[in-house]
Amino acid sequence: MFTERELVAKIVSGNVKAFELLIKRYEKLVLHMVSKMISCDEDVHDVCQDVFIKVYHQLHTFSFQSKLSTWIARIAYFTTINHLRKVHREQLRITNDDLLAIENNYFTEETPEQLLIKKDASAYIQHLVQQLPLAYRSVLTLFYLEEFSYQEIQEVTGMPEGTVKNYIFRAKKLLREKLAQYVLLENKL
Amino acid sequence: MKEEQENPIDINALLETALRREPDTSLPYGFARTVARKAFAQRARFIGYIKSLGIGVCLGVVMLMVLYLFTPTFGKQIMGLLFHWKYTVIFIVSVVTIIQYFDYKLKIVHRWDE
Repeated sequence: MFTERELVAKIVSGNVKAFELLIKRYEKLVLHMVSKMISCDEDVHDVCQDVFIKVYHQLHTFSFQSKLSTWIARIAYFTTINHLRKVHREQLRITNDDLLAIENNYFTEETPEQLLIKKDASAYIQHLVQQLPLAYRSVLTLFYLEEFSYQEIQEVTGMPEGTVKNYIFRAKKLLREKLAQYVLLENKL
Repeated sequence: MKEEQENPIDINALLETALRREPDTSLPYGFARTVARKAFAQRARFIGYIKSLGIGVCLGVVMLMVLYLFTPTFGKQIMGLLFHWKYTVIFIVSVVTIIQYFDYKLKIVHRWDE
């Protein structure tokens, strides 16, 4: 098992197998981040590929001041945001008014399809998470799925630590409330 | 709050489990291999271009020297012609090199099935 330094040195010196190893090591991290931010599977594959090609081109500039995973996650985060900017699918900026709207009435009215999703609590939560704004989703993914610290999330996203904590707190509060309603409904049935 | 108090452990545990659940999507089989090869191929293409350019320039210089040695008059004519068009030649070579460089550095948007 190579260390990060050995792996980077091998890739920079032109070892294709070492780069393949790096992709295998970090493909889950990149896939989790990208797939939580983009819903179209084809786009997810394209963006994941772009992320690793960018990683390859910029690897010689990596100075080991952070963990390699944090550095790759940062590239994945900004590549995905650039992709979304290009396709104009998502509003990336969140204003204070938007935050208020999220707290009050963000989630859409439930349709029969959504009620079906509710049958599985976990799927229901995933469904709710998908409706959260991009910044909330990415922060939640990094914190829970990748187990990044607040400091690491700050390094990846560029958001202040306070904002990261606030997003996680608000998102969890919202989800907990929705889940509590769901559990109550299930118990009544 | 009342609802939470009724099911405090269940809700928190459910939420944590759901948030830690991995997405259902996965990358195609052989993703790492394909992407690694593609990234290296891009670099190899650019290096190949630089090598070809170097070899071309060297061959040209050698051919001119040989020409100059055996048929000085014709050699002088060719040298004069090259000297006359030097800026055009430099411009064409520079533009092609810059295009190749940007193609290598910036052409990073590829379709997966390409």
